[in-house]
Amino acid sequence: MSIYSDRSGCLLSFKQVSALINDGGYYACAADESVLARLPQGNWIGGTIPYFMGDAGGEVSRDKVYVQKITMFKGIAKPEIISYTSATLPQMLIDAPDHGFSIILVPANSQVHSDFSRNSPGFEHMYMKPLLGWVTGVHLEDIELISPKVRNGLTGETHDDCALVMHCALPENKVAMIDLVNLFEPGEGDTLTFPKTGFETKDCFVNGELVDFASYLDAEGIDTRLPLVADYCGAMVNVSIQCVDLKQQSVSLYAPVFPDVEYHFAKEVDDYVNAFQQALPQGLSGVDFSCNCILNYLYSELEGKHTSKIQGPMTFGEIAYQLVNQTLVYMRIEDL
Amino acid sequence: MKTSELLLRLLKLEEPWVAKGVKVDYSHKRLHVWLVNTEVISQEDDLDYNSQTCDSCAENSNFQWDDQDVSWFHLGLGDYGTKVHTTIRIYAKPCNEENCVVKKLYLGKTDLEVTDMLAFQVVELLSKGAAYSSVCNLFNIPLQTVWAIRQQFDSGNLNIDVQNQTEIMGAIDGVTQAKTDDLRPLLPGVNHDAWLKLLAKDNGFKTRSLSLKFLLTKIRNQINNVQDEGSRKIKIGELRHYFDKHQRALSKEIAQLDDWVRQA
Repeated sequence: MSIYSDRSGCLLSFKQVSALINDGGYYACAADESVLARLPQGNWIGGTIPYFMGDAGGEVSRDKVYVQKITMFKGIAKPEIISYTSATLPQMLIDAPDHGFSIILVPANSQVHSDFSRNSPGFEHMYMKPLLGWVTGVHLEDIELISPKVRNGLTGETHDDCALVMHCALPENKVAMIDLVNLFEPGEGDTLTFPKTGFETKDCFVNGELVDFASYLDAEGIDTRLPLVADYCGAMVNVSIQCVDLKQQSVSLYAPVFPDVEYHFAKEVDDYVNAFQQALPQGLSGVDFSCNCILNYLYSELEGKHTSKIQGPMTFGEIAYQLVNQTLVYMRIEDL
Repeated sequence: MKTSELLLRLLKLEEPWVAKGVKVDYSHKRLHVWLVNTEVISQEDDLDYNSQTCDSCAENSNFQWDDQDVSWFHLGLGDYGTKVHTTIRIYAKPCNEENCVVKKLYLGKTDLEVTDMLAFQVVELLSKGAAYSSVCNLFNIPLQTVWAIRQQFDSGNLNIDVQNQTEIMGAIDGVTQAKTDDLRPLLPGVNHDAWLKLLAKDNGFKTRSLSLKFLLTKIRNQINNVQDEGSRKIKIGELRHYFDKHQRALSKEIAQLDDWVRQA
């Protein structure tokens, strides 16, 4: 299809996406809820979000749809779309093909979001089968008014309490490689650990000493736009601060912290766009799936600015096996 | 040999355990075996305290205890799953003395529905890539039980304390080996130090695989929380299974392992 050239995703009008869906391909879509609800039924999954990185750079649109085409291979089973509740979510990767990948969309602030974030590292087949996706959101003006959702294009059902997954098989000579571009590196400040898994924390160990985390952030004058960064054997994984409540002595996070993992607050990134270009792997052009974080969009003021050829929705959380924050996640289908 | 003795031998339960009763549930394909530990319980069902009781349990023997009937899923026999039933004595303070006869009454954990022997087989099979559903079918146990075993194991709360561990591991190896032999390159065995080196920090290992980075971090953290050798081997088995499954995409990583093997 000519609109795609060498890439699998782009930001299109409602009409263009409707035509694609009616042609019968498989797609992962991102759009404002009002647009998703009007798309024709077909082989697609969709999540609500009106923030994108497209050909015109960073863009907010309540009319357009970011659509990512799922490449089909001759002789390989067609993708399967399944919705999961909190109760069935741990079985998600059991349903995934033995050789392929799965795209997951999770509504922000839902129970399934919380359960996925906290428990996914323990799911059966986790890290054995490729899993990526994003957390759906809303326009920031609507945050108190409507809930983030997912839409099953096959059934026409919309949910704010289910995760939606498209399981995709690949031929034996192809492999799905998932990776991150994270501009944040651990700073040289204190080493932080947390006593338990959670999105909200009161206590924190600072260099081994138990402190009230909210008071610590206040006393140290920490810039909470910078995420906590953990080093997972060379993969830098961010957890972003949502809000600090000094009165309640509590800190809310956009992803859970885990015990036994050491965190540091990130070093500051001066020029996001420039740093982003430099951080991209050499030779990386087209990708088969990608998403970036709404916080990068906001804090680095990306509206109208380009971040290379890699485009996609700007989301409320990125999933590369597990939930990460303030990170570009992408997948390439490579030859074996 | 009496039939009941043969049955217990097949279930890898030997003296002082004896079978007091057996019932076959044909509709659910389950064998129920009522057990008594004659080292501890007399034929009159009285707990027989003697010098083999640890000081703590001896002190508690006159108070702060309760007898409780327990049932654990146990090793399978052919198409049939088994469930063993016995009575344990629960104290206000749990007994951790390995040689105490009271502790020996516990064939499994009180908060899990399976014997330690079965728990060991379950985690071993899962770590070698068996699907949850296959494990459920193999032992005729519910999915939530398998899930609970896995959760306890991953959190370091399931120390595998099984006397005939080697024999069981050997049997499972035989089953899984046949499945994967034709694909497997010469990955080092789970006993090779190369895996421990891979799990050590600052080992110079390089990979671009995000999933491997995450898995190494997870297993490194988990292995720090487990105390027994059996559990460590199972964790290494899980890592080895990852390499086995993704060997075509991990040629550079496997070459680094090979270097360590050659240097050893």
